[in-house]
Amino acid sequence: MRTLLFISIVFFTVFVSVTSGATFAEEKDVHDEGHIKQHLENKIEVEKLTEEQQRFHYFSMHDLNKDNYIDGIEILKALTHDHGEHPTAGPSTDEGEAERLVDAVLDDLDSNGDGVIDYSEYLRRQ
Amino acid sequence: MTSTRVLLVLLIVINVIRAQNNPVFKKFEYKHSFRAPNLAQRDGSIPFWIVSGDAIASGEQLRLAPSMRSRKGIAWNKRAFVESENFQVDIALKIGGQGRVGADGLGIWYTSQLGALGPVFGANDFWTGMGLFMDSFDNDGQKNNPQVSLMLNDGTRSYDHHTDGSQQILSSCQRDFRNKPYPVRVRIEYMKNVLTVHVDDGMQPTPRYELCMRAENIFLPRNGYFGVSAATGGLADDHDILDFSVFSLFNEQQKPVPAAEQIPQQEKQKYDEEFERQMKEYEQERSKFKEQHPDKVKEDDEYDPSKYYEDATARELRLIYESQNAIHQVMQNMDQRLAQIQQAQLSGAGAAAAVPQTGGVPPVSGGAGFSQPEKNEVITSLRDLTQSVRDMKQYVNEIFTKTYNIDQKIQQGGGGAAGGVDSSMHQKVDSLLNELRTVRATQVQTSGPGGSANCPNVSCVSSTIFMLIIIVQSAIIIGVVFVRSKQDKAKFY
Repeated sequence: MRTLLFISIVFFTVFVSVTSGATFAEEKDVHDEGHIKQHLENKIEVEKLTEEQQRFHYFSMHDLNKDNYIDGIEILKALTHDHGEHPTAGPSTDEGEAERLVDAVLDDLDSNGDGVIDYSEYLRRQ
Repeated sequence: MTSTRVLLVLLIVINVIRAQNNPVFKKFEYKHSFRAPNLAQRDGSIPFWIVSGDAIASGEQLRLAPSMRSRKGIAWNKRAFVESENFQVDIALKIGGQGRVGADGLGIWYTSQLGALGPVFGANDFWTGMGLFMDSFDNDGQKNNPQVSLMLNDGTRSYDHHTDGSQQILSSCQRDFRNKPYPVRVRIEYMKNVLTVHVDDGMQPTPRYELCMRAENIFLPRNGYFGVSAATGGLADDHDILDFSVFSLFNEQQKPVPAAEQIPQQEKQKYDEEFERQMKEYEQERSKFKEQHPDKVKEDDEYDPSKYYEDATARELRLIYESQNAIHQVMQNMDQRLAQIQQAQLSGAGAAAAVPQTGGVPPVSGGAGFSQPEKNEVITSLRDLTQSVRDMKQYVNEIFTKTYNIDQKIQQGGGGAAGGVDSSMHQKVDSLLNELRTVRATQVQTSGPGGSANCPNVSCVSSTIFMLIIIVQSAIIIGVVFVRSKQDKAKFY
């Protein structure tokens, strides 16, 4: 009984630490130049990005349908996407967890409550 | 007292008007939506959705039913739509196959319970709520398919496939949604118990919505579930969903977030400007990069709808559409020109009608539709024509005379060739004759003095002697001839 509890606690902490590792539009994400460059590969010549450019490209690369808004779907994809570093990533994000994360981002950034983040809402947080 | 009453009534009226004209507040609901690219997760699931049957979710689309016979697939939203009573759903879908006719169709649902696999375009019968059908196949032979039809159900009725539900559906419109170059978009709006459906023609990348149906006093179940389904029968189409975006709609009063928290207009403008600037910069960089490294620019993960669609048939269709569009444009231009010409003619006719009155020229009945310069032109061209006809006549005459001459010459030449000898002979004969005459004349002159003087100095031979001599001579000749012929005969033996 005790071991079971212990295992479940360990599992829970590991799970939380893994999923909560995914963040959106935090300082370290926006200025993760390596990651941004990966997305810009074969699109433009990148040498060094200014902070402004980093901010723009971070927004642009997550705006998948290029409607100049980032919506919940795109936030979720931003949180779960990787570049094949974890090819055996098991079942995709737990839905409850995903919902919590995306809602947190939306609460944080979507100040007019229309369910999408526009560039001004995004920049205001930076 | 009365003035306050009037004011009160006015206020009420204004409020009512404001309530009616309230701008609708729209919120995107990601928990009820999915969209390409990266539509499905790596394990083929869609977050917050159940996919079952023959439906396959991939990165680019949710294929509810593939173009194989008798397949059906559904996808239903796991979360009930609790955010609002009113909603707007924007769907981008693609239905198409090789055949001229397809089947069976695709259903878009909003039901009080989660759907299951079943006979109504892949989903269960006896549903409660709304079903919007993209019905490709004409089951009842009314030649009204493909059609978009809407049917409400309270859980007691069974959809009648054989009549395409014609007695059951609330409303329908006939739209060709198969094999379009771009995804066909459908917009369903349910606001204040009014249900409207707009359908786009799928002919261009930006949607061009046209009203398909509008129905009032519709009561849909609250907290329902969104779903999509599709089925194939004997004929088969691919049924794909690319985008399923749900928005919750609110009146301004119901707006979940107070306006105070919103970004001030000025600040927003500043940020938007920066975005524009960055976007331009990025575009420039990209085009520069494309020029510099054309080999490196490959198909990337950017959203490009045509990429997902262009197979051989789609390309062919697109080419046809493009050429048709070009033709259409040319025709429009021609139409425009024609209108211009007609206008010019009308004004010209007016001028022509005005001329006779002022100038006193008798009106020309045929010239009603011509302007003065045009008339002049016609006259000059006619003149030219007569001139050239005259020239031609002259030429023809010339040719005639020449040929006549040639003919004559040929005839003369024929006679001349023979008569050339003749005439010289003639001349000689003439000269001979002349000479003979002169000789005779001189003879006559010399023998003129008398009959005896004919042979004055010579003793005249008597006629008997002359005759005798002739007879002797001829006898000798006959004898010689006779002897010779005898000799020939002898020789012959």
